[in-house]
This record gives sequence, structure tokens and C-alpha cells, in this order.
Amino acid sequence: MPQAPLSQLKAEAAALADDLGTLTTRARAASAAHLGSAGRRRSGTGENFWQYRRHTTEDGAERIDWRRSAREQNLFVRETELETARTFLFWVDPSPGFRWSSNEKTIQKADRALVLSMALAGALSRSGERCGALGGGRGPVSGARAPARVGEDISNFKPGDLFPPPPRDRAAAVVCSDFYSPLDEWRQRLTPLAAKCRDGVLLQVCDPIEEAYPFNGRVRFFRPGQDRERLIGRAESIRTGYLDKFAQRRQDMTNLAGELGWRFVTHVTSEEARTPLGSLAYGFTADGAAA
Amino acid sequence: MNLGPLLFLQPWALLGLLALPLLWLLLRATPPEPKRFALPSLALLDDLKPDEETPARTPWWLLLLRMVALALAIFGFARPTWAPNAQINANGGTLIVVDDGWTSGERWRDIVRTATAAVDESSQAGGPIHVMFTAPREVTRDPSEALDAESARQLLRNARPAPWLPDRVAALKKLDDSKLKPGRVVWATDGFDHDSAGSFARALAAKGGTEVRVTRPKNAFAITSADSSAEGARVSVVRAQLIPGMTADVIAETAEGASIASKRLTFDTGSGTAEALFAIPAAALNRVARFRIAGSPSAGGVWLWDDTARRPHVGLADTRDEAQPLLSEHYYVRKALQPYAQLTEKKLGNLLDSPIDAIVMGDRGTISEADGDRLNKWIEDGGVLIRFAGPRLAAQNDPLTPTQLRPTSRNLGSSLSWETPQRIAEFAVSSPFFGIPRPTDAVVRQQVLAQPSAELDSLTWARLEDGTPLVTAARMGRGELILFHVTADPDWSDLPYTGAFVEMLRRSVVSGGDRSRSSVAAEGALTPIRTLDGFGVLGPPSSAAQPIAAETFATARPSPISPPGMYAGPGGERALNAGAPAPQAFDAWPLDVQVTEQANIMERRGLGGWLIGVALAIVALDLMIALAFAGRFPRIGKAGAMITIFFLATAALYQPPASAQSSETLAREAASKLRFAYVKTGDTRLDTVTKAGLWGLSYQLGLRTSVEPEPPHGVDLAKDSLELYPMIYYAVPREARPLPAAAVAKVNAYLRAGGAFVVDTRDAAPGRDVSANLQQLLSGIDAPPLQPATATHVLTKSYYLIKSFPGRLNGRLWIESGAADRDTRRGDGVSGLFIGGSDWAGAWAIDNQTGRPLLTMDGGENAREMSYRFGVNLVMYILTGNYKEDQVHIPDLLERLGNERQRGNTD
Repeated sequence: MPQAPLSQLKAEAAALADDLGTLTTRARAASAAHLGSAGRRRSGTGENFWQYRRHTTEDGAERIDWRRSAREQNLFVRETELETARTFLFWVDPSPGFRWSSNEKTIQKADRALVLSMALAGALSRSGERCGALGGGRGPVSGARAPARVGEDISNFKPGDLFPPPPRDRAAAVVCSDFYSPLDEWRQRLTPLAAKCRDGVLLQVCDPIEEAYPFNGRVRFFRPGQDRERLIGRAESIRTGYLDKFAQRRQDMTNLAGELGWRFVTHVTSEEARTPLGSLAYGFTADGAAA
Repeated sequence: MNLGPLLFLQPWALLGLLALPLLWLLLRATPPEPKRFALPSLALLDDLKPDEETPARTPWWLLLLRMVALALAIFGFARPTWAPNAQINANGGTLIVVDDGWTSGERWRDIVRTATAAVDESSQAGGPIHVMFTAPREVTRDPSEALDAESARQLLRNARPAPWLPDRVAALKKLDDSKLKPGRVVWATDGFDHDSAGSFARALAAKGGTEVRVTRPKNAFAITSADSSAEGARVSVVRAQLIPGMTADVIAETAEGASIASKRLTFDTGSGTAEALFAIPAAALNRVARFRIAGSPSAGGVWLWDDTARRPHVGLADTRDEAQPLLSEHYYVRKALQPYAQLTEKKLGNLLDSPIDAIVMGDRGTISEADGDRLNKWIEDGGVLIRFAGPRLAAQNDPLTPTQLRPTSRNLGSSLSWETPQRIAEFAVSSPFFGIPRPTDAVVRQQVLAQPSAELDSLTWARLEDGTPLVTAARMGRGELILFHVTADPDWSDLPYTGAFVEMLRRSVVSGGDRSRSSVAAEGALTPIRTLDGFGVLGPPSSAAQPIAAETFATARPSPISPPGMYAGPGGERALNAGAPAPQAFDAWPLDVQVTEQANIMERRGLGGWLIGVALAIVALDLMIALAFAGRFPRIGKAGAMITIFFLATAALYQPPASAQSSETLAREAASKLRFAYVKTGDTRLDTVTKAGLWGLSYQLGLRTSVEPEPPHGVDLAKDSLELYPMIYYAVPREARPLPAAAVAKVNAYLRAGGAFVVDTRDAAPGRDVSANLQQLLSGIDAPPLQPATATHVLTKSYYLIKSFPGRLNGRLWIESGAADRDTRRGDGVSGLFIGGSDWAGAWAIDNQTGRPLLTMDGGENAREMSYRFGVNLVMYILTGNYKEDQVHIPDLLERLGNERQRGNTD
């Protein structure tokens, strides 16, 4: 399938984002808060008063607002408005091998990755987070324009671009690629990024034929965007080797993500777009189990 | 060029073999092209070595296979020929003699092949080839012309047999004149004598080593005569080889080539001739233009029929012009014979000069002395004289009668006679008139009587019911003298009014010997208009064909100037046929020639086709291998397997549903539940519709009544148990044959046991309820008198009140007549037989999947509803008999009862 128009992808992402609903980022994310942001209109850590509420036994004694409690018989707790905003940075591999699909019916890997990024950005920005493209020219924004900006910035990536340098401020990163380049290369790229981004996801998007390897007989393989070809006399003879390599790479990437404190999510373009969305968002949401 | 027994007809093609080494290099360099795939994850494999590297070059055995294919193709194009007896010594050339008369027509291909084989044999022995044909031609070939092999083959390929017989004497003379001295002679002969075979063979043997290759027609090859007979025509055919058990088909054709009749004839073992007797109605006989032996394309296998053969010439003697033609004495004779004979009306003396078969003479007292003698002579030569009696004959005592007559006539049924007019008796078996239906309504009022004599009985062809002769005849030489003892006009009898009169005259006319063919009007010349070629195909005459003088026509034989065919002259069209006299097969070959029958002739066989075929097969194999190499084959195999499995499964699953039901299961099912049956006709479409019809009727019955039949059964009338079904529906196919005897017996038993048999011919038309051939179809069915069901019959009120019995068509319904006498009535007067042509099943038919009507109907759903109502009534009638008929009397009964009560009250 040729590269899909951005507008179409946007619409698709908007629909997905609706599925995802409003994400509430988890407590730990507060550390990455961007100062000076608007209130979140709910109780939490912040400077502005939000509400008094009745003291419950779960609250410690230190939380009692004595000044307020003194006026009445009841004990009150003073709550402030939550004032957090995190920055999420997205990056989608612009290499020709990623902007590729095996047949007319399957969506391109890069397009799928972009849809997922935009959907996630949409859901996150709706809950007040700031989203932007990693290495994009413009800074992260919040609100309804965020997914569009993410999409536009990512679409502007050129195939030859280098992996972008880490951001100046703390952020959470979503890195989408097929991760077929050598492992060391990825380690070099991701380690500095992880230093700035304590939270991150590696999203591997694969084409179904890359996962299934349905080749037989005499086959001449080539990588999109590269001239090098490789002639295999009997393609079926290396099938086992290939599948082993493929599984090995996924395992390696999982391990790498673990080292970085990130998560590794895989997705195949033949599946529905919403399948990886849950696990993508999972790590960032407040109800996520990871601490 | 030859290689042992192999002969290469195109040796230059073998040069192609030189190209093989080049091909070797080319093929080695190019392995089959691999498929190309993009695979981004290929990077993962950078450090993975494939287990097996593909060979850069084609494997040696594939290369060998391709080389073999090419070599075979090259050999094939060199046209190798298997020529086992190619070692022939023929110094001074080879002479090939071919018999190309019409006798060769049937097996012309074989003869040409035989001769061509001789050409092939000679071609490598060197020396010129000479070809000579024995049948005379307008332009004859000079046998001394030397040909090379290719042009000799060409010559033989283009040769066609002549429509006349070979003239070997002339051919031999030509050969002698040419001073040709061939080293070897091959004679491809038709194996017939033609009065010259022996001497010709000896003369050839004197010139060089002679080989005779005989190719005779296997089956009937010639028609030697075709005559009209009383029933139609009689055709004689001959054959050359006495192979036992051979049959041949003779076809009677019209001038346009349409076949009117065909007759299969069987040769008796050991007999070379056979006769085909055609029974063709006279009207059709007039259209017969020729007879043809099926499968024997030769001029002799066709017998052209001219006017003289087809229609007897009949002369009416001494007719008089009369003011009132209907009262003319010859009026009825003329009308009777006109369709069958060529009529000439002249004075008796002139008639005797004309070529006629029969003379009809009215009532004449005496015949002049001179004419009488000539007439006698004429009859003895094969003429037929048909005389009619009358007052003049009765008054004179004329000697020219079959028997002596009493000098008065007998008057029946007149005011002075006690005798009543007599009818004509049945024709005796010995009479030529046997088989003519007796005219039952014609009476004879007056006749001349024969003197009783011992031989009178044997001379009588027809008699009256009281035994007195009506027609007497006497054989005179080859001819016949026939006397009708009544007048030719209806004065004395009604006989001229009847159809039997026509038949009697017809048979009388042809009872004599053949006359007209031997004595033809000898005047003028006959010009060819259509002539036969050697294969027996009529065409325009060739430029060499010349008119034949009429006096020599009878003796004319087919030749280049007088080819067989139709000739037109002042006396009408005449046919010159090739088949008679039939040529005689010849077997007494001289000892100094080598004789081979066709069956033993060693033919050369071209092997080129086989070699190229094998080469193509190898190429196909190579393609498979290439596909397998490229990895495409397994997928093709899978698809192929799927297709194969699909077809096999369909074949296995598809079984005619009827065959699944054995007769016994049918019977068990039928016995347990009420259901109808239809007769399986073998016409699948029709059966489907009939079944759907009964299904639809069953469904409607279930909806409307308490009769709830199960789905219908198809039954075989001859095999299945019929008595289990209350109704059997027989939809008659268009080309139905009469029911077999076994079926008829079972249907009769079924009807006697009270079954209901519905016969639907599906072709009702206004004024015709059922097919005309219904009687034939149902012959043997024990049917009482039938009548159309009346508007008051129980059928009109057994459930619904209906007025007619419509189906898709609207004809009447015929049922057993209730008026049949009590003893033979069965089932309390309920009809068991229902016959009609309204295609009820078609109207009732519904699709058992969708429940929708299967066939369209005039009048739409209304009409369909009416036919359903009839169906319901029919079933009700079948199931309840005339119960309803009794019910309709209830008001009367009640009234009567009431009357009685009233009467009782008044008492």
C-alpha cells in the first residue's frame, strides 16, 4: 500500500483516540511536571486551593487543616488543584524499510506507527498532557492541536535523517520502528534518550510477511531503499534460521527496553490498529501497575 | 536419404543438429530467473549463511533433457519415415499403374495410399517414376513421362476416380506405344475383372517385375437395379467380398438430397447380391430421385431414377371427348392413376407403338383382327391390359378376356330381381390385391359373369360376397390380362368411388413385366444435364460429355463422352447408371505377378509427428521442472489438487436422486404414508417438473384439506409396486414410445385393483384434447369406453365447485364412461383412467426450495388457482369415489322423505 494521506491517518487516529478515552497519567509522572501549567480541575498536588473535604480515617492527622476545622465540629482536609503536565515525545522511523508494506492491502508500517502515535497523542493531550515529535522543529503542545502537530512533524521526517538528540527537558518517549538495524546501533541511540526520558515505550511495527516468512524456492531478496540483493537458492531452507533470528531480535529489544526502564510493545500491521493501543497507554496511565 | 529402414524425407533439416553444441553453451549460462521479493527484515539475516546455495548453472540432467527435446524435434522435422521394404531394385524406373474407375471410389484413399507407398519405396531406389491411370480420360497422361518422387506423390494426391470403369486394354496400348521399359511395375488395382484383369497382369509382367496390390470394396459397392414395386421400390445391390454378416444401408433421396427412406439389408452368407425392399407411399415415391448406398462413395453406389423407372406409363385406349367429363368412362381411371403413372391417351393402334407398361381399355365389344394380334403379342412381351366390362362386352363374345364370359350381364337389386346388390368380399391371400382394405360401403349392382370353370378360382383376384368374380386376370407370357367385371364408371357399381379402386388399379398396372425400359421412344438425342463424378456426387456435366442418340441410349455405357447421370431428351429425362452390369471380382491372377491384398500391404509410416510429439512432451516436463525450481510448482499443485478434489467430490456427491431409492425402500415408504407417484419417463426435465407438480399438489392438499400426502415418488411402471399409490401420474414425453408389455400388464392390474392412472399428454390444443398417437402409446391398456368428463360429473363438485379442468392448457378431460355395462364396470363406476393434455403437473409445479411456482401460466395466479382446485377435486374424487354424487341427491331424498311423511300424515 502506498503511503496514506495524512488527513486519512488523522481521522483514523482520532477515532482510535476516542476509543482510548481520557488518560489519567499516573502519579509518578508528576516528577516530569512542567511548571506553570494550567490547573487540572481536580484535587492533587498544586498551589491553588481546590476544595475542603471531610477528613477520613485514611488521611493522616497531619493532613487536617486546622484553621478550617476549628470553625466547625468536623475535621476538614484542604485539597489543592492538581497541576501537572507531562511531555510526551514521539518518533517514527522514517527509513524506507519502515515506510513499506508487503502488499496492496496491508497498511505501511510507518503509517500504522503514525496512526498509533497520533491516537496516543490525542488521548494524552485530551487529559492535558503536552505532546510533540521527537526531533521535530516545534515544541510540544497540549490541547486538540497536539495530535495534528505530532502527525505533521513526524511526516516531515526525511528518510536520511539521523536519530534525533535527546530533548532538553524531561519527557516520556514513544519510539516506533521495526528495530531491524543492528542492536548496538539502537543501544547507542536509545541510551542518551533514556537518560532524559525515564519513561518510554519502544513500539515495534512489523509486516505480516516479516513475521511469517512465506517464501519458497529460488528467491532474490532486497531491502527497500538499498541496492544490495541477496539470492537464496531455496528460501524454505533458511526459514527456521530466519524465524529464530526474528524471535531473538524481539527478545533482545525487550531486554534493551528493560535496561532502559522502558517497555517494548510489538504490533503487526495485519492486526487491527487498536490492539497495541492498550498496552501502549498502559504504562503511562495512573492506574498502571508499574511504579 | 535413408538410415537403415529409416528414410528422411527432409534430410536438410538434420543440419539443425549442428546447432546443438551452441545451445549447450547458451542453456548452461542461464539458470531460471528467480522471483524477487522485498524484505526489510533481511538485515536480520546478514550473518546467516543459507544452508544450500543455488547452482549458478543449469543442472546437467536438465540440460540433457533440453538437448534431447531439441534433437528429437530436429529429427522430427526431417520427416523420418519407417520403410521396412525399402530395398527395391528398380533399374529403369518404376511404373505405378492405378485403377481409377468408379469401382475404386469407395476405397480411393486406400488405393492412393498404396500407390504412394510404392512411390516412397521407389524414391530411394533411384530412377524415374512413371504413373499411369487405367480409366480413360479426355486428356490421357503419357505414362512415359518421368516424375520425381514429390511430383508423383502430388499427382496421386490430386487424382480422383472417374465415374466410369477402367479401360485396361486402351491403357495397355498406350503403354506399348510409349515404349516404356520399367524395371518394376506396381499395379494398385480395384480387384475387378473388367474383362481384362488377367491379360493386363500378364502384359505388365512381360515388361518388368510386377506387383499387384488389390484394394477391393469391402461392402456393397454398386446398385445394379432399382424398380418400382407395388409397395414402393426394389433395389438390388452387389458386393465384391463375401464377408459374412455384412449389412449395408440403402438410402432413397430426393433430388435435393434429402433422405426419404433408408433400408438396412443383410447379405446372405455366400451371396454376392441382396435386395432392399422399400415401402414408400406413392406420393413420396414420386419424389425419390436416386438411391444411394450409405458409406460407399462411388458412381456405382448411386442409382439415378428417371421418369420411366419411377412411374409406369399407362395408356388409355380409345378415349372419347365427352361433353360431360364426370360421365366419361375413363374419368375415374384417369383420376385414380394420375398421381402414380404417366398417362397417355391414344388410339389402341398407336398406343401399341408407344413405350407403355399398361393399357386401360374401357367397355369395348370387339377388337379389330390386326389390333388383336398385336395386342396379344404386346401382352406376351410384358404388357398389362386392363379391361372393364360394360354392356358392349356383355353383348359381344370377345375372346380377349381372362375367362370365358356368359353372354349376358347379371343385374342385382333391380326391380325385376330378387337379388340384392352385393358387397365386395375380403381379398384372398393369394390375390395381388391382398392387403387392400375392403370397401364395405360399395355395392355392385350389375356385372358380367364368368363361365364356371376349373381354373376360374385361381384366376380370380377379387370377388363379391356371394363368391362371383369381380376381377379376373390371366397370365399371358410375361404380361397380364386383367378384367374388371364392372364398368370403369359408376354405372354398374360404386367401386370407382372407393379408395380401393385406386389401389387395385395401381397394383394391376405394375403387375406385368418391364416393358418401357426396353422400348424407348427412339427419337432425338439425350443431352446430359447432371452427371455423377467418381465419388457419386451429382454435378454439372463436364465439357467432354456429349449428347447420346436416343436409339443407342439403352446400350450406352458410361464413358468420358457419356458420363453417368441424368440426360434430357424429347421423351423426358433418362438416367444413365454406372452400377449395371455389376463388375465381377477377379482372383485368377497369373503366376508371374506378385499379388498383395490391401490388408497385407506394408505401409510406410511417418515418424516425424511422434518425434515432435515426444519433444513437446519433454518441453512440457522441462516447464514443470522450471516451475518446481522457482518454487511455484507446489502452489500450482495445490490449486490443481483443489480443482481435482472439487471435481471428484462433485462427481461422487452427484448421484441421480432416484437411483438412491431402491424399489423396496420406495415400496416401504409408500406403504406407510399416503403419497402420489409419477411415472419416470427418462426425460429428466420432464420428470423434475412432474415431481414438482405432484409436490405442489400435495402441498396444496395439505393446506386446504385433511389429505396430507408425503412427497411424491417416481416409479418405473414395469418394476415398482404400483398398488401402493392412490394415484399415478403419467406425463407423456414428446417422443414417447408405447409402454412396454410388462408395464401395460402392471398398469392393467393396478386399474383393476381400483387405482387411478392420470395420463397427461401436455399438448392440448383447441379441437384436439390429446396427442393423436395416444392410442398407440397406451395400446394394451385395458380401457373401457372413454368420454369427456361432463359439466355435471362428480369431478366438478367433489371438493370445489368447478366448471372445467384446466392445467397450463385447457383441454377436456377424458374419463371412463359411466355408461359401460355393469359387469365390466369396476370400482363402483368410479373412473380409474384420466386422460387429458392440459399439463396439470406443469401448473401445479412449485419449487420445493422456495415454494414458488416453477412454470409460468397464461392467466396468472387465477388460472393456477383453478388448476389447483381441479387437482384437489381430482384427488378427492380418487379417494372418495362417487360419495359426493350420492350427496347431491340429499335434497331430493329429503324431499322424498318429507313427502312420505306428509302422505303418512294425511293417511
